[in-house]
Amino acid sequence: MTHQLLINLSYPALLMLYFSYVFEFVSFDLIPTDDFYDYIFGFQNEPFSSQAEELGYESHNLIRNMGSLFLTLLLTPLFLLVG
Amino acid sequence: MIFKPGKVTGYVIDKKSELLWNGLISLFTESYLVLCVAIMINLSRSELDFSTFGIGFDTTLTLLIGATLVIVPPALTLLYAKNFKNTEETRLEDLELIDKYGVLIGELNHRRLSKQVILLTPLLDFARRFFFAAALVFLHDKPWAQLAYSNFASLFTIMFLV
Repeated sequence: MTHQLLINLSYPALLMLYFSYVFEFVSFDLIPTDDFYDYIFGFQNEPFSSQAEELGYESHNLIRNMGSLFLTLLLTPLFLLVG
Repeated sequence: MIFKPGKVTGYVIDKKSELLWNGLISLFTESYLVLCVAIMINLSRSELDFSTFGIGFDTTLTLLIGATLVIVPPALTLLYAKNFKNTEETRLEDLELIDKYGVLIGELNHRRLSKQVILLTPLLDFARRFFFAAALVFLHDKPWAQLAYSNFASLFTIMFLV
């Protein structure tokens, strides 16, 4: 549902704002990692489109767009090994 | 009341086994569309960028996870098929199967007991998301095509869920 807003149409600003908050939950992006990733990996961010930027895909880089999901993928094998 | 650690340990081991499979599959399933869109946005650039260590690592990860997104859905379907009982009566009562792969058919209408439909529904669901992500990124200049695909995919899915 939230990804429907990536279709290249014009949307009301309030709708985009609402779904930008919803998207943080949908994409498991609950930890603010953007500045951290920019510092570590040296990303120069250029959004794919204005809709993508509003939703949270603020860069062309995978790790930056994954957000907290990247940490989850890193930590999952660790949890499996420890468990 | 006497504390019985054996019961607690057994419960935790059961839950851990369930989480190991259904949890991992669920994480992969739920994040599949986000990963597809993020990867295709990265691949939409004219060429692969390895200019610095950080960006090179990002590009390498893109290729690795991209390959995973293509390989894992058919592999899951094959594993699912391998563990699939042949008789219709036992299919949805097979607790071992439900424990491992139940999350794949959780939303499926249980009136549809055909083996092919049950096996292919999760695979089609992955394919629907993959091509939706591709439409969102690579057909960015053709919103009519994006809308057409979105409507078609929704109708196609509704046929199996309602």
